[in-house]
Amino acid sequence: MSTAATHKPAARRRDPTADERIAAADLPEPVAQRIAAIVRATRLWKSERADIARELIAHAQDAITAGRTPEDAAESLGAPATIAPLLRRSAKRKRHWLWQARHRTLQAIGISLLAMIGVYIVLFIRFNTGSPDIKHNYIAELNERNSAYTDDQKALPAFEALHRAWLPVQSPLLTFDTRDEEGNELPRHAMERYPFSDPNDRGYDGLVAAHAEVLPQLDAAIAASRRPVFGMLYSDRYERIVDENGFQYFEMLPPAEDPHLSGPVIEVLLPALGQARQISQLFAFDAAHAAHHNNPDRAAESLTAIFDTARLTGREHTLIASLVAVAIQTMGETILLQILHDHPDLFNEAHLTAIAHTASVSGRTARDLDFETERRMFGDFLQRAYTNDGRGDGRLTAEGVRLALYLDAITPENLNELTNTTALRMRLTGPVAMLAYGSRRDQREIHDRLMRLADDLLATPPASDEHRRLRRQADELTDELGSSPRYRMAAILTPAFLRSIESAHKGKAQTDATLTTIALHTHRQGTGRWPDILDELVPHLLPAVPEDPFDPGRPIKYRLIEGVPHLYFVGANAQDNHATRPARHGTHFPNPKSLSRRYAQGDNSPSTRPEDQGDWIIYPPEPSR
Amino acid sequence: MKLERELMRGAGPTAVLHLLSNRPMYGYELVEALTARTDGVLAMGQSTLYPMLYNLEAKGLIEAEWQAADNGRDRKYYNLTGKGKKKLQTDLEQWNRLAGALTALGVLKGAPA
Repeated sequence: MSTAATHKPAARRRDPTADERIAAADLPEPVAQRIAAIVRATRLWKSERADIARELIAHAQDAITAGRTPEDAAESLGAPATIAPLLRRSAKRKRHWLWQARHRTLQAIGISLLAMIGVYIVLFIRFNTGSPDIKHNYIAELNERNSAYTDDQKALPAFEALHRAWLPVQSPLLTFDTRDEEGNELPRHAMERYPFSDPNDRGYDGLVAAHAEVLPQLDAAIAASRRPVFGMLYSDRYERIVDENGFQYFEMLPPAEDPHLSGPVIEVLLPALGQARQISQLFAFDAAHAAHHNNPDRAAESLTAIFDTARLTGREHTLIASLVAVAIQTMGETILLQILHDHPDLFNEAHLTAIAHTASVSGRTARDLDFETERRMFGDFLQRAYTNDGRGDGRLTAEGVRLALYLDAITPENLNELTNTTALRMRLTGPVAMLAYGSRRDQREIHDRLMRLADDLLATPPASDEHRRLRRQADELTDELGSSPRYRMAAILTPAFLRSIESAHKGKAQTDATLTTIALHTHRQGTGRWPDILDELVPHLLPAVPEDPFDPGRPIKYRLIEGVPHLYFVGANAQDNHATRPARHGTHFPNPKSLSRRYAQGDNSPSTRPEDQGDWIIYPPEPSR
Repeated sequence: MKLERELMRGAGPTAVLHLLSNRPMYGYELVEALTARTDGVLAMGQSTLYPMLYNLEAKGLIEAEWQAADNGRDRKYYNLTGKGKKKLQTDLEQWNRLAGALTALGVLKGAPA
């Protein structure tokens, strides 16, 4: 280094560019052109290009000085297409580490984006090329159960005839004033608490007159209620009929034989269940009216018809039908208890025995929740939403997303969203849904687990440790179902089975208490007095004294207060309040959930809620009834 | 005879580091030295040399400095760093062990006993 002096450019002087350096070097044309081409092809920063140009210029000058021809010197620099990328790559490695870090980060982001695009393309193709494999005709399978019965074994035709006759007659009754022209509150109208209407209610005579108009159809329906099956037709096809009075109803049409042409099972319309509820109300009014006119045979017949209707709907083996059956059973028990209270000498032992038998059978049938139809409904949903790989698995399809959106559209906002969802948008977002929402097997597995738990919960006594364990499992599973996107599709079609089981357990308690009340009245008919203790009813009038569900292991409470028998459960506060109702409570006291919560907690901790401070009195019925 | 690309990729940097261990040198000088002192075996063109020099510089094994030569022209001199010296030492040990192993196998002719 002794022969060379360090060269320092003047401060603040702008460094020459690559082109300026090449021009200033006064190189032979071929060399200058080659260096310019190489430097340009590197596409490096301006300062880097200038530095490389400077070095190649020095190199070329040394070669020419050493005796090489300009052409040879140019050639020895190499072809721009070869050397430029090598120079570019190696020069970039010399850059500052911050640039390197930024460069690598951007590279990683770019690669990730490319990978995501690649994955999306694969998913897009898979999603848009998959199609459901609809093989089973689940609607036809549902109808098979009733197909073995002839029309004269089905109650539904007579119920439909009564419903169609009752619609125009009932319609004028539904419009009434609650206040007079001066704004004063009018006495209670008979329709305000129909079918528990009272002869003292305003408009009662009109209701009786309307009732008389449909008496032939009512008699036929009462007779038909004793038939073996209800006979609903499961179909998604119907015709909306408007009769000469302008009243409309649904005429169910047979479902398509080809499952491709029919809608999903969930779309099956069941107007007959609504009709059954209305007809039961008419039976209830008929029974109360007969009791008022001291006609025990007719009252017993109508009461029996209510319980038979609960039995018929309960036998339809769909969860919704079972819930309707429980509601009809509860209504029948309520009107029965009211009649027993208001007309304690109306029925003889034979009447009471016949009513007790029918109510017992219908109570059991209504509570016998059957999840088979829910399973079929879910199987039908899967076959319409997913592909089928033949091994129980498959992926979500565009048809599945469309179906899920349709089924999920339960609010006006959702309906708007569905309407605005274009086919293109669905095609684009569907692949993400396919990835996030899990496979056919995922949905099937969690649904099967839930349904097995539902069966087990129904089969175990509600106050048992096993029931509590199963209930905790069910709570965990339903939480998972509600929170995990993986089970989003299953969540759409999973019934609120826990609530149904809670209602069934509450229904059982109420039926047990109602049957005990009938036994009390039967005992009084035979002996002329109320029993001192319930054990006097066992076994000739009652197989056993029922258990208090709020006081596991102990019987329903019974007290004679001023000569009136009181039958009650202790309620959610777990305290015997000596047959006192809570100061304030809702229509559906006690809430089935409070019963279920008590079972699930298993700690027998009494409820401290004000609305739970009192007893659940079955008899005598609540005065407001 | 020139070396195959893979062999050159291994031997080239060691050869350059070795030349720079004696004194700082500039690009053309390195090309000439590699050709003359290896009888052309390790001769390399600019398209190989300069990217190699930039890579060694990026790794911190050599450092560069522009200097004005006696004839007034600019030249970029490359010098070995401390890290480069250590690397050269390691490379030399490995090359010696490799040569010893190849000699033991009879692939290379050993020095007479």
